Amino acid sequence: MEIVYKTKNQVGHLEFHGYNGAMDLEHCTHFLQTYEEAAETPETRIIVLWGGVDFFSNGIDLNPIHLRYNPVILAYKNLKALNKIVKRVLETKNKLVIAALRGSAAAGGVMLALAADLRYGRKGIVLNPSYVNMGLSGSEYWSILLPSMIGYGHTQKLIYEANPISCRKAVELGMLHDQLDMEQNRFCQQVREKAEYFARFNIEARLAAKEVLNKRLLYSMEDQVKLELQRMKDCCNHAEFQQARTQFVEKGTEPPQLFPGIALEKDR
Amino acid sequence: MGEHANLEKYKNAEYVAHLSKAIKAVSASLGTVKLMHVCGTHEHEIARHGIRQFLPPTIQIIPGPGCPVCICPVESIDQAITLAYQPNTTVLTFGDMVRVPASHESLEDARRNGGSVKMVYSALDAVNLARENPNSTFVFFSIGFETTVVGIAGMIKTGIPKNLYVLLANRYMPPVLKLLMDVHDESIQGFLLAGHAATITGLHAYDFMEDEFQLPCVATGFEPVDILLGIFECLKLIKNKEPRIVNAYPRAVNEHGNTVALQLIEDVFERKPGIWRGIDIVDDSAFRIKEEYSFLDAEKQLDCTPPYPPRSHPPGCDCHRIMLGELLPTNCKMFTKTCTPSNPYGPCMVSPEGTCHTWFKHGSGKISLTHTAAHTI
Ligand code: SF4
Repeated sequence: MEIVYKTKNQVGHLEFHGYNGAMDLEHCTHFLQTYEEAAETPETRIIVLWGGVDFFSNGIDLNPIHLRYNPVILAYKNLKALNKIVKRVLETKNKLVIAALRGSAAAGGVMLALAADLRYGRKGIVLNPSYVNMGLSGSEYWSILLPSMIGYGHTQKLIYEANPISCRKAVELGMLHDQLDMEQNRFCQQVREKAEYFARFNIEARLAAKEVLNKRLLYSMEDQVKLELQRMKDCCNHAEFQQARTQFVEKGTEPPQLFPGIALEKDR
Repeated sequence: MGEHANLEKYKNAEYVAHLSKAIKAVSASLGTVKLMHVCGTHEHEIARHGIRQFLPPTIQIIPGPGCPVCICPVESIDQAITLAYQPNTTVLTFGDMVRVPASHESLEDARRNGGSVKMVYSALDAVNLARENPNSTFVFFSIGFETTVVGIAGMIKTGIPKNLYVLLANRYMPPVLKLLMDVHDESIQGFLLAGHAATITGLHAYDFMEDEFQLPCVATGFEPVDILLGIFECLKLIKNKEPRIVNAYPRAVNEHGNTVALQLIEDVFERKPGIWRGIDIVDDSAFRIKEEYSFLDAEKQLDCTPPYPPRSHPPGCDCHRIMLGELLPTNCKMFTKTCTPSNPYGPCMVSPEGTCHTWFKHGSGKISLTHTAAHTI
């Protein structure tokens, strides 16, 4: 697990590469520390979350969880650690946060991206926001973030049907704000240019607007999140999670999808 | 007689009523408060005396992983069973342990199937049996918390016959509180510490609860007045926002513990990560026999590897979640139906210190679930 933080032209760049996009407990702790430091640096006004190259993030790491004597305890700890990160990103007042999805994302990784203020995806990536295929109801503030961004109905479809969506579809729904270049270097360049522009021009106005907009989003967040965690704990203790985890970790497969290929429209 | 009369005052109805009133008063402004105890004897006494009925419905006393028989890892019982089948070898252990279901069978089943298992009442019984039968091999299967481990340390230190080995599955309670904090987030607001274990460790063993978690803990005795006093003290600390470790059992516990006993434990044992059955592997929570006494360590000297992998709980048994304080026995479909003390399906139904066993015998003493989700505490 590698976490690299660099700053340039008032923009902080946070890369976090995890094997297969997974963020284990240690990674989450390290990420949070690095993010805290980044958020406290006064000269940077923008933080770009780059994730990894192949995957932005796929949420918690099921491999160590599966090997643990009681997987539920570690799964729950890992979820809470990722929750803390999402919360910290959501509550960042003095910076505009950008999620730059060079790679695909799933479950908690999608929510981490949604916690950012602006979200750009590289053409060709895939988002899989539902946790259901893993036998889980979901955490990381999904029940606040998704309906706020894409509406209640779309959230229902994405979570219950549990199909992945393309970058273009994610933009259409409002999960991402733009689909940028497919080529990695050009994508990165485009994101950097946007970030530096925002940092240079009227950043105070942007941050003031963010404060106003996020006030509603963060209102009564805690009760909702408690319920998310309670249900996640129940799911973690259920045989469905054990079966899905075993299938994923030991055989490298997920359960068959409903209408494969239909929901995931090709980018054009 | 004198001692008995002395204990009577700790059952005194007037004191109980007085404390019940005081608890009501101190908790009036607190809202729902969850306290956890970590002692099977506490749950037994709380249920037996109906202590929960003396509390306002907003005060919940949640049973934690305090039953030594229930938390004893299945891996250790499987080892004991494996030893029981070896020629000329007898496994000696305390009564309840014999009936606890392990991966495939209990020690009692093993005895029925030709293994050699005997119940003893103390470590001294084991020594005597080994002395009387010098040509046989005996293994003392030791379980329990801090209080029990002292006796084993004493036995080892004073010297035991060459034909007696120890299979050690004793556990040390303080580190598991950290795990409970993780599992319950901020929902537990205080712990009632087991008075007898605290007589050995003293209060300082729990200082981390104050330093790391800012959570009050109260060493609590076992009579109705003791228990209500422990609850009252804990609520007072919560109300005053004083996350301290307090002694509500001063007739037995002191800050530094029993220094002679602690020295004895340190001479003979060290600590390592240990399995708590179905719960997790908890750092620093298991006792291990020190190298200089390895000649009597059954794990090192005898072949006790079972020919099958461990299975922590029989399918459908939620004992580990009950021990974690996440579920109640009444949440289990088998409770009182297919799982009873005379026919226990899971470990929590075996020992009188197990929550399922206690609730079967005495009822819950009314745990209120009104402020919680429908099926979790
Ligand atoms: S009632 Fe029996 S089966 Fe159910 S949790 Fe208790 S011991 Fe296990």
